[in-house]
Amino acid sequence: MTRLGTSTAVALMALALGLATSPDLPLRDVQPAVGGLVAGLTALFVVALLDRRAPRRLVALGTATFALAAAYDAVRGEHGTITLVQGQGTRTFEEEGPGGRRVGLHPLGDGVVVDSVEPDGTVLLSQADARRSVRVSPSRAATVAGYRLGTPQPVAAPGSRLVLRVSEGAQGEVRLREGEKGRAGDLDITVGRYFPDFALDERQQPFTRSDEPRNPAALLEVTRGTASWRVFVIRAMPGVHRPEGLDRTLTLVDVVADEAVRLSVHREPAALLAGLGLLVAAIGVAWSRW
Amino acid sequence: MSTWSTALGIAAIASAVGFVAASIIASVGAASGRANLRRIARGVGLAAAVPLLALSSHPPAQPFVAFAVVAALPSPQPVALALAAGAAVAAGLVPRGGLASVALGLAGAGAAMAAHALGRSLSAYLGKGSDVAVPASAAGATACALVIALDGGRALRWSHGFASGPARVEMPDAGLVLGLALLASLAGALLLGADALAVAGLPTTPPPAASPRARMFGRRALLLAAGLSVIAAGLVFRASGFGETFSLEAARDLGVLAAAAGLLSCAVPPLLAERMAGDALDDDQAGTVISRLVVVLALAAVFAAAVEGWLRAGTYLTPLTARLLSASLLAFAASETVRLRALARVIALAALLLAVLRS
Repeated sequence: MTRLGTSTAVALMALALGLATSPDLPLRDVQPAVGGLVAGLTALFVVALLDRRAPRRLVALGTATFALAAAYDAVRGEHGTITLVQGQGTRTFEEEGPGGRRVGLHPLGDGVVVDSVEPDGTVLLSQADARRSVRVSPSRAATVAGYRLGTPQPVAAPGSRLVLRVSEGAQGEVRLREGEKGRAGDLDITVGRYFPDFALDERQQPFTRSDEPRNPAALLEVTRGTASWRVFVIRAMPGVHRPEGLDRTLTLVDVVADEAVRLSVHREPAALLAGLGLLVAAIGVAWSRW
Repeated sequence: MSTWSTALGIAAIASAVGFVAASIIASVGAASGRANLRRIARGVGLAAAVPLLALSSHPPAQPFVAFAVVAALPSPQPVALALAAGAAVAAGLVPRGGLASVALGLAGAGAAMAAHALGRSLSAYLGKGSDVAVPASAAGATACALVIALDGGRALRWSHGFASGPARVEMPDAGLVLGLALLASLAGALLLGADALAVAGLPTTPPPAASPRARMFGRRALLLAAGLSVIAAGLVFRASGFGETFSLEAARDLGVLAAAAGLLSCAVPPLLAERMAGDALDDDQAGTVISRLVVVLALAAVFAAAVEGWLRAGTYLTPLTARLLSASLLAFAASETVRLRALARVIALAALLLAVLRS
């Protein structure tokens, strides 16, 4: 038995590996070379265990298998996020490299559209090519074109929704983004232009001073049957927007932040191998002399 | 809070009291070598574990229930039973909701077995005729560390509090008592540690006390710290409206205080015994076997965490998997080493407990 294979040496290596891999000790944040140190120490640990009897060799085999699989998935696996609002689709995801570094867009292998977001956070996605729907809940990930999509989280989207109310006669309320069309009461409404911080320039032309919804206003295209109107609404003046020939009043009630959902995306081809490695290592330890 | 929840909370606290009692009886039984006391301790421990089974349907309570039940099952070990008191309190008061986790349950069971392995190490150490002041001093230091760990170390500034929804409940009275408990446990640890160091290296077994008065004051300081920990736990419990506004942090704080009180209490009986009874070889061998079992349980927990991560989050490389992997490596180190076994087992136990508490 070499000195590397003594109980003390093996115990010291296991101790060092245990401390270096702990997420509660920020060793990798302090010194980036810790990753290389862990790889080297793992190799030594495996060699030290190979020096022993059959159960130890099983532990070595299991450890080596798990370490290689985990390293492969951490470095060569694909990880990232998708952020979508309801009704929006994509064929790519924002890929992240080791350490959470953003590396750009990566093809997903299929198109996904967010059909609905349920109150408990569950997201219903429809796949464009596979022509099927999948449910991604906070407690259950789903597979889309070989990728695992999971942990849906509500996040604030860059856009905003305008809350528009139609009163007098057939009443209704609708929430629309810029360029979207919706129905409120008996009217079809399209948001032509949206001014988050409305103001008029020297030529009395509308413009927005900032992207913050401080003085929101919008230019709407309203249709009923074959008749159509262009209506300007501003939140600061509710209940006064009634175009000629239309027996309805339109009000910009409020502007609410658009809520999107962010999904994590993972592809870990060596996951099965990692699980197998853990089982083999556990069998090796259990088989040891008791 | 429903009547059923209140009843479960009361049952958990009664269970914790039972575990502390079992821990003290087991400690007295081990110190005096009276097998009947050890049998009584086992019975009390098992009886204390029974009410906790009613909590096993609550996912967040499951790891704590697993810890307490496994701590009570094998031979009665004072350390395991003292920590089980903390687990019982946490199981009864932890907020409801969340998902069940097999990995955390296995980690809880593994942590309890690690506590048993540590208990065997201590029994072997004392069975060889070593100085009883050393583990008692270590118990005082551990209690000190536990009190400092509460609420980000605010006990050092004589204050304590916990989050209750968006607000924070300040408890200056609990802060004062915790500060006193910290001082008392520190005094006990230092007095007993200094006395043990003063006689280290003497050929007689067990070594005589360098200063009987220092031992007496150290022992009394530990008892005082245990009492103050219980009072502080009572104040925290009262401030929470008797369990109505418990957050996860408050439940953990109470669990830690109960465990600290248990550890301090079970450290005292060996100091009163003239000579510790026990079979060092038997304890050593049993400790080695239990250590291997801890590694197997920890690896099973890693496997379960990997599967749960893949199913729930889409990746097996989750923080829980990493934490449990780290704990299983530390447990492996503890099972392999022939030197500083007790210290290695303390590290393994701490890693497994951390994995349960931080998830």
